[in-house]
Amino acid sequence: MHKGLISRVERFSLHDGPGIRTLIVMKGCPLRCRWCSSPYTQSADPEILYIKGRCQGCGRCIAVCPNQAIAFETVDGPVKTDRSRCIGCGACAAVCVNRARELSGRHYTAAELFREVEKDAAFYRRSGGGITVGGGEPTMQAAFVREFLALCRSHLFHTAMETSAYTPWEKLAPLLDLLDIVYMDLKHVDERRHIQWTGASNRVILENIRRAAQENHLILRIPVIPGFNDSAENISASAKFVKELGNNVVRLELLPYHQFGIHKYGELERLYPLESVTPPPDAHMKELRGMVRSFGLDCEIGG
Amino acid sequence: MADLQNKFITTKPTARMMRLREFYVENSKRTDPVYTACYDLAIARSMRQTEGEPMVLRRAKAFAAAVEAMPVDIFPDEPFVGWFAGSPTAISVGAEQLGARLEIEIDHYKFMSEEDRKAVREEIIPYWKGEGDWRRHWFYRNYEMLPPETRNLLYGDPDPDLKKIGIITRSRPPALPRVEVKEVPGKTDGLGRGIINDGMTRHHIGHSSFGYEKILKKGFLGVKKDAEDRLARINWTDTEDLRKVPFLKGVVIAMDAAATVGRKFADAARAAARREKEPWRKAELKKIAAVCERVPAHPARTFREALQSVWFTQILNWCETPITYAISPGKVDQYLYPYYEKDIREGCLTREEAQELVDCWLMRFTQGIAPYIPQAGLASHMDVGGLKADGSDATNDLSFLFVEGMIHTRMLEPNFGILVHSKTPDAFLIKACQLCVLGTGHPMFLNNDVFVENFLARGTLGGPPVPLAMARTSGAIGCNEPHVTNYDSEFNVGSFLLLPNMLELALADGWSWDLRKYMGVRTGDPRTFKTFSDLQEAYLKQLAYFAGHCEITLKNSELALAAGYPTVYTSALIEDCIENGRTREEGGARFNFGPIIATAGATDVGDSLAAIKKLVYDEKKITMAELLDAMEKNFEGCESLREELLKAPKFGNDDDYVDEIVAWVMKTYCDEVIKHENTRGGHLIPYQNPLVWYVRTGKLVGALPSGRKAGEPLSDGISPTRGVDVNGPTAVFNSVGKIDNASIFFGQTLNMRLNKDVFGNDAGVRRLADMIRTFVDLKIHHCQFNLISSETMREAQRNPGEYQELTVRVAGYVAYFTRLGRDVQDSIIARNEHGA
Repeated sequence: MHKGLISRVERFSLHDGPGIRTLIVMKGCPLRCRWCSSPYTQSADPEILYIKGRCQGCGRCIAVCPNQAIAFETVDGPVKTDRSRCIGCGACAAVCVNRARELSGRHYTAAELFREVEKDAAFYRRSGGGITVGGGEPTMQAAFVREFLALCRSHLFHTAMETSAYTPWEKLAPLLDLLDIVYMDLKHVDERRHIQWTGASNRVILENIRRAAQENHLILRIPVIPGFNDSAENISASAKFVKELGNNVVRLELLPYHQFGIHKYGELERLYPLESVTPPPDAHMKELRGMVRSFGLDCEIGG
Repeated sequence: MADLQNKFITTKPTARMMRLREFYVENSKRTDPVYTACYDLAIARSMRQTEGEPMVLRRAKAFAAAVEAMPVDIFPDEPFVGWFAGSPTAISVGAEQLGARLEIEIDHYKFMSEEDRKAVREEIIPYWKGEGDWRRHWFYRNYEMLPPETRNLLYGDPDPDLKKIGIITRSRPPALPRVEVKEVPGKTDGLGRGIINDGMTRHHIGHSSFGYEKILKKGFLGVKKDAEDRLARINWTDTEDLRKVPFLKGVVIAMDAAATVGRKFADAARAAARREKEPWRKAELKKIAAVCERVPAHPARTFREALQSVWFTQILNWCETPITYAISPGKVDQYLYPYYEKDIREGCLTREEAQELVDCWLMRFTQGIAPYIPQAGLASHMDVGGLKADGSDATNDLSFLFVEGMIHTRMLEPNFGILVHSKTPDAFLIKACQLCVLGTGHPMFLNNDVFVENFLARGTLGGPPVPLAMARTSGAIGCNEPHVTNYDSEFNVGSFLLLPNMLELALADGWSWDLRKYMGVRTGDPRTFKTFSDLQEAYLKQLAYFAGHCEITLKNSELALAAGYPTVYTSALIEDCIENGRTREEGGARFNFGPIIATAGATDVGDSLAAIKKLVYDEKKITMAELLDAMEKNFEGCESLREELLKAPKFGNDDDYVDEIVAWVMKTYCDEVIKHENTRGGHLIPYQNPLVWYVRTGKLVGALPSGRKAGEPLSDGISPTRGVDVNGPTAVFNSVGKIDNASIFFGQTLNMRLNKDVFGNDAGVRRLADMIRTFVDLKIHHCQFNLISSETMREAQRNPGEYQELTVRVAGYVAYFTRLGRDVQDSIIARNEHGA
């Protein structure tokens, strides 16, 4: 039996597939996209989130930390965590009475996780909803995800997965036949730019998309990041790439860059890498959508 | 918002409708109502003249006198005529219900004619006051007959020598418009406070849905004939039959009087038509005259006549009981449909014309008292949708017209519900959800499948069974109380007993935190309780003790009301009062459910018990002594202990540990209440809808083991304690669905906040409809939504002048946000906003 490391289970999720869904946010991602809005899913280990505003400076966390990773920033003030020493054991979160410390990353067996998602079965049934596995990059925990999805499938739940597609085909393929819908990101068609902004080549991604499109219903997503991939040139090239994938592509979604994730960097005591970028204007998004639609593709802004 | 509204409407509101709407909106911006004494004066004079006659006949004559006094003014643009108290702005003083308080309040009414003020001072007050003690007031008798022990639990003072009888009626009745009075000790103070709050003191019952269909079908003269026929069947040697005679004679008088209303307005409309210059209005006034010539004396024939007939039936209640609440037109789309359908079929009415009539008719319910009682709501409840007698879906074209009407009007009242069930068509549910996401607070969703179970189960309490067909065709009244339409003399008034008080008493060996003395049963020092079930047992003992005294006070109130203020008009319209020859107050109706033992705070008790079970008994992290000590200090200096309590499982998160305890709290409460009988052959009934009092009564409850501090608001109905539900709306529904909703016979309230950005669009409407389907599946009784953002509400707090039209759901009703007390406003903002 595999155990999966889950950042959190999000009920009543409305933007990750049809109907009312439960989103499983998996830990661990091989990419380091600069615009990432969920930085606490990047590391494949449990991490402590620190919500400074709630901290009363009681020092209980400092006392229980087995690695002496926490110290007062100022006397009786907020605390600071030495992330290089923190092992993500969660002892501090357990004693924090103000909920200023939370552990992102809990291990579940597939059966345990299924018991969680089963709670909203009545809502899936009525809304045509189901389960979406996202992250992070779910294929990093492919064996666990496969076991979990098989369980969902055996109960006839609708299943979806959100993947960067940056993964060996051997890991991705076994999951695909357990999925009703697969969301894949198409961040940039140009390899050099892709490496610059995500830290990895897009070759395997493009290849995985092509192969997946042969058998699976895909929804492709472009996170539109001003200055990175929002040029007419890139969007046209992306649309052209999608057009050639054939009829299994349900639609292409343009997700405008947003800054809702900024505070999460603070909770990880990290700096936000993309301070100077602002969300793309509506007009620009509509223009890009028009461009994609001119290829005869179904295209929507937002998920 | 305007965009969404335009998107959702199917018929454009007419210019006349918009003019009327503006008129009503402007009206409601006054700070105070306009008081009128016309009915109060007519009633007092009549009662003075009839001293010595049987009370029920006197009441019939007083009603007839009030009808005679009804003002017959016709206002610009209105297609229907007649008002609750004579004009769109007026409300009655309600002298008999206010009691001695009126002597103080009369000086503080801002808008009242000098003539009326004089009448109140010189005629009305002296009559009811009598020799000085307001002895004619039914509450006088009520107090006089109570045993000292019960008086103590009600007023914190046994008063064995009736020393307080002089001030008994000085307390403020619970649901009248608030009047700012400077409190003067010895002059304005009423009775003290105990543990039981007696809601039957001085407001009449109201709270029913009856007679509309009957009057549509046979008119008041038809009902008069029913009474005459019954009189003709009296066996004049049968003692029981002889007792029926005064009531039946009274019905003849009352129905005769009610039938005259139409003719008076017909005359006025004709006169107005003669003066009118505008041709369209001249023609309409003639139409109004023709309608009123016909109804309500005779059966209605057209949709217009039907709407006018129902409206007259509604407002005539105030001639009998000036100011009553929750008299509810009920399933309007059902009993009005035959008239609509016939008119459309015969080509004498278009759908657009019908829509305008519906719009204008709906707006009539919003005026008069509605804007001035933000603590309770007038609660003229209407339902659309629902089931037919054969169990099929009852939705019709008129159901859509009413929802459309609510989108057009967007006012406080009527209190509008959608009866949803497993067969509700998608198109109708979507329409209802479109209204919902506009964020006016309308509609509420009522689970018709649960209602059916509820009615059938009530029929097993010992009274007559409720037939399946009747269970299906009945709806709600007031806020959301299931009510057997036309047959039920539901007393949805009664005692208010806070469950958190029961827990406090159990945790203090019967000692009251609020009153600082022993009030409950001595159930022992909780520090000696070995197990969690010892505590549960102590809690149940307290509950049983107080419920027992609720029975005493309620029975006594029922008898006092039946003797002092029996209704004739109302009773004539409730089946089977005429056949039985008895008023509703004497148990003449087929069904006699209630009065209520209402409660609030089941969630607080459940959360508290869960925290005790987990931390004291399961995990033994804290001791009972530490807990009690911390509560006594209101957690000061015990912050970490309080944090442990706050971290314990909380209701609304789909956590079985606590949800099962809340379900236990509700079940034991319901089981206890229905053990007790009333004086009319029925049972007391449970009800959890605290209106706005979840805030005020919270001030009387000390710190709780849930981590709630002393004085903070209690939970609002069965809604999770504000802000603790962190798993989203599906988890809230699942938690509430674990409670046996059908057994809470008068219902309970579930308030939720939804994020406007997530739900205020087509996809959001679809999502909401999916949620409502699941709500039906989960067998939850009721839910309602606010979609106003916290920012908007805070902005309204800062600039109330600019947000006078902002409406929100409070408990079972809709109120103007800026008229709510600051504490209530804050409590609404503190509810968790789902989807944000």
